[in-house]
Amino acid sequence: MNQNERHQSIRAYLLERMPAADREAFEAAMAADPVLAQDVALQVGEIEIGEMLLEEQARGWIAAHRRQRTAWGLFWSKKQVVVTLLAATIALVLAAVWWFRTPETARDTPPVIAHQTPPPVTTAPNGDTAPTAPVRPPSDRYLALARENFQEPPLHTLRTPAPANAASFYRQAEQAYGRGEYQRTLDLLARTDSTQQQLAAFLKAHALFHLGRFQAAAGQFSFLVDSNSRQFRYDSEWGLALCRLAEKTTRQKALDLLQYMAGQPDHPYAERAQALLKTLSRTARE
Amino acid sequence: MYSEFPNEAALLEAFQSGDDQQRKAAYTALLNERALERQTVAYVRRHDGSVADGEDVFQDALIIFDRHVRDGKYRGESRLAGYFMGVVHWCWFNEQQRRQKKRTIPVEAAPELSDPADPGKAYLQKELRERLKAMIDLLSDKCRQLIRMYMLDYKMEETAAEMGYAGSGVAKKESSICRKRLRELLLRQTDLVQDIIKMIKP
Repeated sequence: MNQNERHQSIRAYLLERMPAADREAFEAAMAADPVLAQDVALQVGEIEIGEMLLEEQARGWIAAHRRQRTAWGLFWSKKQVVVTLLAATIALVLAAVWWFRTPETARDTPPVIAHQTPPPVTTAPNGDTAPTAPVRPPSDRYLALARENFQEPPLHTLRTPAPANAASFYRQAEQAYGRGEYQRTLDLLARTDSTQQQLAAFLKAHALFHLGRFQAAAGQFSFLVDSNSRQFRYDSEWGLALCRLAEKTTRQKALDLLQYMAGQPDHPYAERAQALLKTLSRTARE
Repeated sequence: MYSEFPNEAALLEAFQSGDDQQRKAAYTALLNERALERQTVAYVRRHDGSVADGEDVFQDALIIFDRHVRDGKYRGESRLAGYFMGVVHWCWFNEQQRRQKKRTIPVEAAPELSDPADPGKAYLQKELRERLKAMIDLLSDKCRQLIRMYMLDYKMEETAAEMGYAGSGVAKKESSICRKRLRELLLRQTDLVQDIIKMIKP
């Protein structure tokens, strides 16, 4: 047996490619021949080293596959983040577009705030020196609701001719108010004396409201609320709420005040406040 | 099914081929078989192993499966998945024994893939392999490549083409030099050779 045949025999034996009879003979020869045994051992080592080299290569493929899979996983997770950010950006842009294109009346939602105490009100200037903020166009829907719910003051003496004295200026103002002459109403009220301060303030607030000077009207109503006027307090609170509702910048305060009123069962305007809040909520949803 | 391979026979053929690309594709196909990996991990976890153990066993089983296919121990007589899981059981059984952990698989249930008493069937024990591994570092890259080709039964013409040699004669000569170098390295490790002889003696 030459070297090559010997090598092939050992290889066939190790790879179990040898017939059973030959195998037994080979094993017998190996037991008797230490050199053959050593050759077999060397070839076992050679084969194992070869297998280890193949294994090394295969493990490289496996590792590369795992890395690729992890990279894909990371890529997808990164992609998800990017897609989410993109979606959020698009949503923000759309929201901004919607915000600037939708009338403000349709996007304001009255918050639900439960007040146990009346919200603070601004002390009213007591007289003609009340600041008259420039009339800004309030949102039509809220203004319409404010006007629709505005409670007109009781005017008792419309048919009675007003006497010609200082005290009668209030009567004349009432008559002017009844005729819808709101600026003249204000002019006449300016000439009333301090004994009719609350009466004058109440009517003045109404006249100012009709003139669209809601902040000034609110000032008059606030004054009456702060004065804790037995006669005008509740009406003034309602009027104040409507003035604030009509004025964009004070709408939140109006809602707070309405919530407060709606939460007071003994408040004469509780039911109306509840109804108005519902209407406002519906309006906001529309 | 098995990525680019239409059936199991084609996959086995790729494993048996000496072509690196084919073999790599075969590995990739099995690596992409997530069901196989899931089953492996589930088996290992059921038998006191972790997910990481399961993943390691899956890799080891792939290597051994490849060798079984190349050695002709598996020729596709049974379903690939079934045979592969047999390899997995065997791998995990051996790994548990190696760790000397509490054995969760009864001895009688150990897979019959290998008879440790039969040198023709058994692969070298891990300890011997570790000692052989040190020798690989002493081989040049060229020799490693040539030995790999020898293991994959490359024809000398193929080896020459792959390595860029002028002809099969050069390939044969280079391959022979490398194998001779390896034998010299082995002969220097007399203890190792004696241990192998003890192991293979019938």
